[in-house]
Amino acid sequence: MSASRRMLHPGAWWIWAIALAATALRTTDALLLGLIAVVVAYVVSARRTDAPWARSFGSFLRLGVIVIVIRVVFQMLFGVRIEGTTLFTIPSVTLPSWAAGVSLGGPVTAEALVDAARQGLRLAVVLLCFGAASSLCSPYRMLRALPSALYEAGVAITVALTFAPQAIIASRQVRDARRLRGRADRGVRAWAGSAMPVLEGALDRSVALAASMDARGYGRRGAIPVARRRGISALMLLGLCLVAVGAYGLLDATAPAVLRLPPFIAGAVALTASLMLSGRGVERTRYRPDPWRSPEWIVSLSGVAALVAIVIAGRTGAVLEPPASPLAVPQLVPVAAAGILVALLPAWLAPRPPAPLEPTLDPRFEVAA
Amino acid sequence: MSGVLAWFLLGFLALVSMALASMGALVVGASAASAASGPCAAPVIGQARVVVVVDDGEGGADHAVATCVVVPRGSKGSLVLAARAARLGTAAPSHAGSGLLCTIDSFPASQCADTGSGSYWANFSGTDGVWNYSSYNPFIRRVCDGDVEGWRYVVQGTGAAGDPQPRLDPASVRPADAWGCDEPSAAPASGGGAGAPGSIDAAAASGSSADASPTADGSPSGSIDPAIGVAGGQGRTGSSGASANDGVDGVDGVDATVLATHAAGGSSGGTALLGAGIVVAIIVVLGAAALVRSRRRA
Repeated sequence: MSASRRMLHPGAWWIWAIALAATALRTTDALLLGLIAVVVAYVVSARRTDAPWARSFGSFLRLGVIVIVIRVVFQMLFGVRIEGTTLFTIPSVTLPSWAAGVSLGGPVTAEALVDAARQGLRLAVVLLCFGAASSLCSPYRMLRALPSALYEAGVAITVALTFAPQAIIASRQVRDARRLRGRADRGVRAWAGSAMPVLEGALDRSVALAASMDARGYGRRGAIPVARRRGISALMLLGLCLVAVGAYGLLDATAPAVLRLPPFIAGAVALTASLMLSGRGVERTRYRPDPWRSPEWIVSLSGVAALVAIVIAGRTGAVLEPPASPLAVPQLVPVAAAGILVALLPAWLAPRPPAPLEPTLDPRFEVAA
Repeated sequence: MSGVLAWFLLGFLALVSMALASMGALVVGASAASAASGPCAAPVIGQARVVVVVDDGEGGADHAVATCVVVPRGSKGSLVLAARAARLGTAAPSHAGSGLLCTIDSFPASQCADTGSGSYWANFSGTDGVWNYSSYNPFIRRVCDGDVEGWRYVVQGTGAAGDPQPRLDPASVRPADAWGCDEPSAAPASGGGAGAPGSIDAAAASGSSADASPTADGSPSGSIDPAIGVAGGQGRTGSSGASANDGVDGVDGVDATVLATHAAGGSSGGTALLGAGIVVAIIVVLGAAALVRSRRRA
């Protein structure tokens, strides 16, 4: 059993989590969102390590609850006045006619509250998916696995990828420090007092990590001639512009067909080419690279299965975004629900993470040895 | 962490049960409105007649159907579509959380899923005799007597004034004796015409304003019972002869029970509930398992 214990390739967990987040973004159905949330929570509880960042899932859960509460409160104050069963009325302000459509206060209906909670839940579940990814795999290993072309943007990527786990570590240290000084470590005042040091500390740590990696040659430019490097930059800029035009065309139904898919595809090709060309000049060796074996395939594909299932369900006419009014009992979309349950498989099929490195402290292990 | 997970689960359960509980209380809203027969009946003080033209954009021009709806004066526009659904006995219109209108009479079946491609219910105002594309929220607007409201389902439209209009002439369905927004005061004019006692000369009453409402015929048509008109603000449609009963017109035979059956029909009974129940059970079991695992670890 211990032989099969190993860290999964971080890319597999990230693909799994991003696919589940994309699945959550396609629906406001409370049943499907709740299913995604518990699937993610169960997999994390089954396969997380004891590393400091592995505790970040609980923080993301709290963040999700806060998101839902904020969404519901904002709906009460500024939201669209959805007609229906009025629960209570808050004082409203009559706005002039040019501000028609904006409401401030007014009757709060059950329909509006349920819909706001559903939309908050969707965002909360997306956050949970990213919390799961960052608590299931080491951010440092993820950095190592990035394509070499992205090394150009080394510092930015290091900060972006390690900020959340560093914030978790920093918040624990700040809390410990407050405790040692005899201050409260719970409640609103403790929060207000520790928010700034935590943010500052996390950013400092990320930047320090990026700097030390930079000093060791991470993000180093290869030996590319200046002219060629400029050409690659131009190609990347062109690709970005084309992708932007194409994305705008795809979103705007009135755009002519020429401005829709063709620039998008051309831009994507240009971007890929520029990334590949710039990556070619970077020489790099990996120390003990993470392998990509069948468990990695199973984990990543199980996440993608959920996404594919919900896309198929949407195409075949299932209602994934139930109307806010009239209220109805949530309808089960069987195809999408089955797909999401497939994403539960990593809880058993992914390899267990290595045991913590403190066996000598545990008397049972001493006996066994 | 485990405590938060428990709260998360609890909140989710509350959400589901809230949706279940408010199912029963759905059938409000529209019951306050009464309705008149096809071509609008005579105007009544305290009420506004609104002609709703709904065109689903399919088939021929006969898909554009005009319905006259009578709602209390000063009602919000949102009441109009609900009252129309109640009058015709169709499913109540459904809205997305943004307030966007998804379906009228359960059309389209895809609900709000196609709005991303520019398909939507376009709203028009036909009060001036031509269809004007509306860029105001029709649901918070206060209705006036004789308003003509048009809805046309546009497939992949532009979301601007050029989108297709309802295939029906708004001038032909607007009541000729419309009072517009300046309806006469509740006190009946003493020096009325040769009509019945208590009748109001609609043309004389609204003649002071430069309203474009075509009241040139000048015939006293709004015969009302001043007692009802003043006391209840409820009134009744003068020509139908049916008694005003709880605000729902007896002629139509459409009342809250019809709405209730439509609301229930939407959730198609037992199998859907069973599926939802299974998923809720899975969610609870998995969540509890995750809770136990994380607690055992900590």
